[in-house]
Amino acid sequence: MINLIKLNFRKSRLSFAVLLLAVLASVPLSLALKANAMAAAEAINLAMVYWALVGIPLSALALSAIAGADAASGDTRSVEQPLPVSQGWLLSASAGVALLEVGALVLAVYAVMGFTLPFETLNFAQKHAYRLYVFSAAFLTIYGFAVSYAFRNAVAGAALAAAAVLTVVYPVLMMSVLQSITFELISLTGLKLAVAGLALAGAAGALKLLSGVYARHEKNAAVKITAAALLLASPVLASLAGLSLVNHRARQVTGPVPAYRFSPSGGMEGGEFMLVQKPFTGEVLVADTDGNNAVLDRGGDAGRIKFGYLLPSPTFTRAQVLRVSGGTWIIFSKYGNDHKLFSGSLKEGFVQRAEMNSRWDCELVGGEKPGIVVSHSGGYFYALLQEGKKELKWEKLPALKTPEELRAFVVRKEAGAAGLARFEGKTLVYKNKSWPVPGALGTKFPAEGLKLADGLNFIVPAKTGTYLCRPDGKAKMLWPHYFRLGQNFYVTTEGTAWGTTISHSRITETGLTGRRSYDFDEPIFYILTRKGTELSGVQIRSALKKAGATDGTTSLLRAEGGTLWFNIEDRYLARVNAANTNEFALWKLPASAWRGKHALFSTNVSASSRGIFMAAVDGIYFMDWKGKLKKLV
Amino acid sequence: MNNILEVKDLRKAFGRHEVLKGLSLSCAPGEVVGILGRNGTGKTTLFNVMLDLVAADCGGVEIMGLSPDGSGKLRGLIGYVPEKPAFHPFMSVREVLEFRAKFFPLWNMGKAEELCKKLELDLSAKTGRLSKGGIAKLAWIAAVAHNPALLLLDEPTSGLDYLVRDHILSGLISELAEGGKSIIVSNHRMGEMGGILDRVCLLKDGVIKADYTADFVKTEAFRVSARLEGGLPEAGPGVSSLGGSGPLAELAVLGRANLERLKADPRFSEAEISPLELDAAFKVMLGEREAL
Repeated sequence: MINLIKLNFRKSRLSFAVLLLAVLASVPLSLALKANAMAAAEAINLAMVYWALVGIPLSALALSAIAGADAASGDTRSVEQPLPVSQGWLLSASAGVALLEVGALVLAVYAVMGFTLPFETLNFAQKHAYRLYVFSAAFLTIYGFAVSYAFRNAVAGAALAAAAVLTVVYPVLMMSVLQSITFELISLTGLKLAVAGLALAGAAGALKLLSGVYARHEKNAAVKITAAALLLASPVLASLAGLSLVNHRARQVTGPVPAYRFSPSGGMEGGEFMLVQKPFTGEVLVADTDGNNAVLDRGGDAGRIKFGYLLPSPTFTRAQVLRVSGGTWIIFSKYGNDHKLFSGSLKEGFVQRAEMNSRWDCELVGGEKPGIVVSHSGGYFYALLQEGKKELKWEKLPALKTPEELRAFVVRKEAGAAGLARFEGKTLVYKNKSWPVPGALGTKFPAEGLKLADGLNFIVPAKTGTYLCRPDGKAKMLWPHYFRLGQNFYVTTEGTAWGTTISHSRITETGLTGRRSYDFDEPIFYILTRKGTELSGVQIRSALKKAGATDGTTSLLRAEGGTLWFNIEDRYLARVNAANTNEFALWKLPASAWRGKHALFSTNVSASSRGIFMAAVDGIYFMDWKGKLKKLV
Repeated sequence: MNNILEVKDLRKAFGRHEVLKGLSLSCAPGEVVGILGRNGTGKTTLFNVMLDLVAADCGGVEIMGLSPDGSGKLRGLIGYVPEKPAFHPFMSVREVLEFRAKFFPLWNMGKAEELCKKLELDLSAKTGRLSKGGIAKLAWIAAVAHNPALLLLDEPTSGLDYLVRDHILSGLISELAEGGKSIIVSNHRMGEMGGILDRVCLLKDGVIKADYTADFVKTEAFRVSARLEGGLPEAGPGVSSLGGSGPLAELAVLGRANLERLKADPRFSEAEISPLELDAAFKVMLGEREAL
């Protein structure tokens, strides 16, 4: 084999030497032609980037196509075929030398750049293109060789190879980009490996079949040529099939609708339905626990968002839901699109009530008189949300000048029956009651009340920990940790308040495959049930271990009768005995879309009184508190 | 003793055109076999199958215990002189020999250089600038330098001038034949090989139609000249017309039995009978003379 490689290198050494010299000559040339303001390294790097993006692909095509056509030529065959080696070795050596030469050119360019990329940062698409570069160069070379051999013509081979490689690599790049910017839609890793395998093995297999037909005149030539053509086409077909599959799956993907700005629980307070979006089509819909659903916006071609066939890209919708007596108000806005305000119910249907400029900031405001507040360059405006089909009547709020004042206004409005306390120094004051809290960390914002079984309570963070101001006028320290309602202290659908601290540790385990170490962020829960029961430092390590949860993002969904339900990283619903957390049950949730991949989305799970909604990669699911799963949409 | 080459029921078609139609052939160690056939009868195809360059459709080939399998191993055991030899034009004669040496474990570089000297071939000459004769000489040297037990010679003197042909014929082939090598040779001018052939196989219609020993060709091929009144007689197989003018007829007769049958005809009582020249005998075998 070495002798054949030497022979083939000798045959192509002139063209290779010219290309290598051209790469090297680019260095002084780029220095000679650079602008005065440009640094020398910058000029050289620019030339090398040009080589990497244009020169090397063209060189790979030229080297491989010439080698492939030469291997198929009668002259070469009459010289080399009588040697006592197989046709496979002859072709492998020829293609291998083309591959080595392309590799040498890549290495030369990389070496001139100092074995580092001349970019401070790469965007996600560039990162994937960079990762695919070596594969693409290898594929281009092998495929160029194979197609040129098949057609016995270097020009036709190079042109076809360029087209085929583009057709293969572009969808693979798109799949990689999709995977990183959004989520794991399907097993793209497997798909990409299959495409890569077919790309390289397909070309090799086609060469073997064609050499049998061309050189050895094996029988069943038509069958073998057809098989070779299919093998050559297989990576293209696989890649396009992958893109098609991604398109199909992207249309199914659902996700929760993240909230507008202010609402403590995201403005999407748990209820008997979930507001869901299909970000690749722009559809926005509401589904309840029984599977009834109403589409608020069909998206797709009917809207301003077009589905991207070559690169399906998500357009996210944000929204706010406000439940009032007599119905539900929903306002949402797709990125770059106007806000749409709907009212109604799943039973009666939802009706669009207003449309507001996309540049406005909008907020539904609860309380005794629910309304909507908007801000734009003209100031702050407020309108009551009225039943029926009455138009919104805007009134200016001249007292509001800043976003902070708007925030205070919204909180005051929303607090309504729950109550709103203020600080006077270190003392919390509500109506005629006051709670002196040692070291209280007050803010300029009022403190929101928390309705528990014994009445209106207030959670107050202090220097030494978190205090609970009870309706009886006493303030007691709950836990020696900082918790502030609406920031790191949350309220579940049924009214349990909770927060966590994280314990970081490094775990080393010995298993069947040997020892492994990993970081384990264990959430420790501090829970105040709606009946006023305090659960301090609850750890559910056994359940987390079994679920393989290590990132500390497990959240409490419900507390009822001594039992706790948790959402473990959107992967499991866990039911845990609060008295003995080693007693637990785990139920696997459907694969979710973009949890952890996008800052907007902390979870795809939304709790209701009967169970949880799950916005998953292939639709919306509902799992009741006993772990029974059903698909809603 | 086992044959060095055994071909059984070999078939090969190119598309719908079947070239070899169940051909069988054998060659004993040290035997020199001539394959006689007209253009397009499949001689080169037969050689290519035996060399494992072309895959047979069916049938068996066994050479020194090996069968063609696409690996090329078989070619390591055979010395092959193609009809149109070719070499990398950028290599010198020495480079060609050194390159080939790496593929043949038994390659004898000293012998190769000695042959170059004997055949007046410049080792430093680029093969791209060699004459046709030079290329032929190099092909011969490349074929024998690894001391193969079997040589396949496909039209080895085709297109060569007299001097080169003489070098090869009187030198190489004779030497090889005398050295106990098995040789299978196809040649349009089989007459020039006559002295070394042990057998001649007639390839026709994709099979070996006839197999003659060298002795038979030399001793049982006759030229019969006779004056005939009333045209040519009806004669059996093995009798061909070589021409003639007026009542004078010249016939070629293959086989003593055929000659005796012919002589039984009173019109041939005065006939002049002489041995048939090899070239003429081979032409008769090929059917270039009209059978009576």
